[in-house]
Amino acid sequence: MAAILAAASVFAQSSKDRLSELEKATVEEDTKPAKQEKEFKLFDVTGVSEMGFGLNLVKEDQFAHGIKGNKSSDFFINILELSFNPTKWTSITLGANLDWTNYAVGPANYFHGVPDGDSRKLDLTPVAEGMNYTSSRLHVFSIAVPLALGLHVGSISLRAGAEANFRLKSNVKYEYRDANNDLFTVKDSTPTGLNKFALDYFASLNIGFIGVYVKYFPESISPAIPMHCFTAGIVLNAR
Amino acid sequence: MKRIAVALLLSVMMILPGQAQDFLKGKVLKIDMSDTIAEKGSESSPFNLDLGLPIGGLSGSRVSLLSLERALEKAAKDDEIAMVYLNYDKLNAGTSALEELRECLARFSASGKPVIAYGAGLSNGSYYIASVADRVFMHPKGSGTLNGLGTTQFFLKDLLDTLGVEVQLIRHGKFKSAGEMYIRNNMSPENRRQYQELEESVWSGMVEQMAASRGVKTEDLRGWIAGLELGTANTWIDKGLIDGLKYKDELEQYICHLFGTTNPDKVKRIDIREYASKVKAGSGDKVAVLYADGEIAREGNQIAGEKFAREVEKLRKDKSVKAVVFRVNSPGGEVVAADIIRREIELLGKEKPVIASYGAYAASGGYLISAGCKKIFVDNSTLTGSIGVFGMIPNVGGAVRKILKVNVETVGTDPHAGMGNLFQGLNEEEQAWYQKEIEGIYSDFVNVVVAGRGMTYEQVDEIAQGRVWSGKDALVNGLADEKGILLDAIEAAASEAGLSKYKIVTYPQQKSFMKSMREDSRKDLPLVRTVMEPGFKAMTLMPLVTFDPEFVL
Repeated sequence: MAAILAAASVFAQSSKDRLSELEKATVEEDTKPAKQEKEFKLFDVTGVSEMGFGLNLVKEDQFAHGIKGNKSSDFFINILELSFNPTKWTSITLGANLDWTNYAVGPANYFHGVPDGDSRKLDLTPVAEGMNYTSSRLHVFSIAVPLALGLHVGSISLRAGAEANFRLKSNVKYEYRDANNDLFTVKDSTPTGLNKFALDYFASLNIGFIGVYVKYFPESISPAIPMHCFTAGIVLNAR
Repeated sequence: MKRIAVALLLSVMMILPGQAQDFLKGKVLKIDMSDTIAEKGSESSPFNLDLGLPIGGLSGSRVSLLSLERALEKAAKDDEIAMVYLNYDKLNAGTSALEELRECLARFSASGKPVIAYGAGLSNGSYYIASVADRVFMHPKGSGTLNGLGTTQFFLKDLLDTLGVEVQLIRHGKFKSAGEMYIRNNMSPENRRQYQELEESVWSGMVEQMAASRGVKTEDLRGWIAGLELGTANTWIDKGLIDGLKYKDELEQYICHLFGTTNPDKVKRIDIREYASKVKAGSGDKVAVLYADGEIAREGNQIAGEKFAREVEKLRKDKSVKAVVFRVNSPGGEVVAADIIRREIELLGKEKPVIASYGAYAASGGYLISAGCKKIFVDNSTLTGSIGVFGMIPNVGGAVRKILKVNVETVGTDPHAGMGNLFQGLNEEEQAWYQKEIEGIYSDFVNVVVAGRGMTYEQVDEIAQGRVWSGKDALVNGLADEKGILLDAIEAAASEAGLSKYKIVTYPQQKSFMKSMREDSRKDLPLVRTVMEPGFKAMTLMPLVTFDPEFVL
């Protein structure tokens, strides 16, 4: 009852009287920096909010294909993100990413295109005996549409979700030396046989503007090439 | 009893000096914008999106009065808001909007939260609103004065005579001043009296409020105004009309002090437009705010009779709308268009409560369309009444002969075939006919007010005669019911409909940005429209009048 009356008495005080009291009060020098607070918006639209770079790692049973984890890489950049923030700590985001993935193999196997009617179909096969392949890679450009749930506590944020991956362009390149040790480079643009669409999964953990991410590709890049990768790397974000 | 006494004693003890350390907590709500405060905002414009670019406050951008009122109403109860900071230099609003905003700030201050006003230049409008603040500060080199309200009118009779243009003005109402500028070289005594009393009514109300807020005597303030005793910042301080002189950085430090800190970064601020955008419209059944903003005409971009009537019909048929606030801000316009709207409002009023709320003007046609509402809310400074009608027929035949050396003759089948022709004036018989028509329209107008206000014909006729009244006087003579801001009218409408919870929606509904851009690009000055439209139109500088004839309220 006293607390209620005390509270009521504060509000009974006019704003002018309150100001008069505050003006007379002593305020000590305040040297502590202000806490930076991010403005909360229920809906937000941002562009170029994130970019990441990682290395492709493969499931153990794929080692037979000779995927070079240290040279198979993935780079992506987010160009648009729509976020719905039901609370200060949670978010649902839908984005659009540009993704460049590089798969390097060798020396026992190589990517190449094999004739398939009028086009050339992607394949990964063992090198012919006596051939000396120095490098071989498959480069894929895709647009990904990630949908993620986010949890944010202070400067730490955890996101996880699925990504619809639309593989738009690819090309293969391989190099080999012949018996005379001459170096030959062969490029094959846009071979067919690539899975044009895939659903991948990802998660990231950020502290401030930097973090780590993992992506898992449960589907192979091609029916002819049973290769399941996951990527792990560093992500920079500007949210 | 004992327990109550102990509780009281404890609470009194808690009010003792220890309370002074209860610094402000929350954010500063900033009213620091150059946007025009209008009836309807321009929130549909993409320039109002927060793109993080410094393009807010583009000239021509408007913020709606309703959104500001609702923001301040919410802020008074919101723990997140600790105080209001008002920059009175930049405020861009008419007297009525200022009055309503002032009232909202007073209510905010009454909740126990302070209002601080700051600027460098004080004038009638800026001091009127600043004076409601708990503290008014000025830049040390600031200045300004209060000089009262005045009206400047131009009279063109001599010019028109020189050019050979004759204007025939037919009217009912000795106070119906519209059109006098074309037929006289000076103000008529009735017109002069009308303006004098009107201005005094509005200004005296403003001065009383300013004096009361500052704790000075009204007669003292009037004396200082009449004696031009206000000028530099020190003169304002000496008379107790402001509280101090501060540079911007000193003001920042003052505000920080109120929050118990010396670090400006620790005092959070939020712009009132941003805060207003987060105020929810409410939930449940709807109370519609129907805006009639502008001149009334058959067609056009302002209040277009048929088009507006369709909006009203939509409201009538919308079952989710339980009550309507008819927000009128119109100086009048064409008779037929006004009556079309009046009729639709009457039909609407039969199905749901319609409360009128007046802005800067609800005069002439603006009054006609709303006189039948259940209740009328006004501001003291609203201009209303002007229950009268006039018609204006220009005759440029003389000018054409004199200047262009062109002679014009008309041949017709009947004696009055060329009546209202731009090149010949009305003869006596034709003038008498017009006068009779005007008297009929005037009588109809008065009868609308009689029916709407529950007064007798004689009572209305006495206060009609084309006379313009302030809202303050309208409350006395029966043309209005209550003094109140738009929010009060909304509350009253909801109460009439028995709603304790409601959602506020506005009509006409906001056009998309692209549509309003296309329509705004076709908006012309009346003079230009005259030249571009086919057929003969009378050239005037006032609401468009044709020779058809179209009478104007």
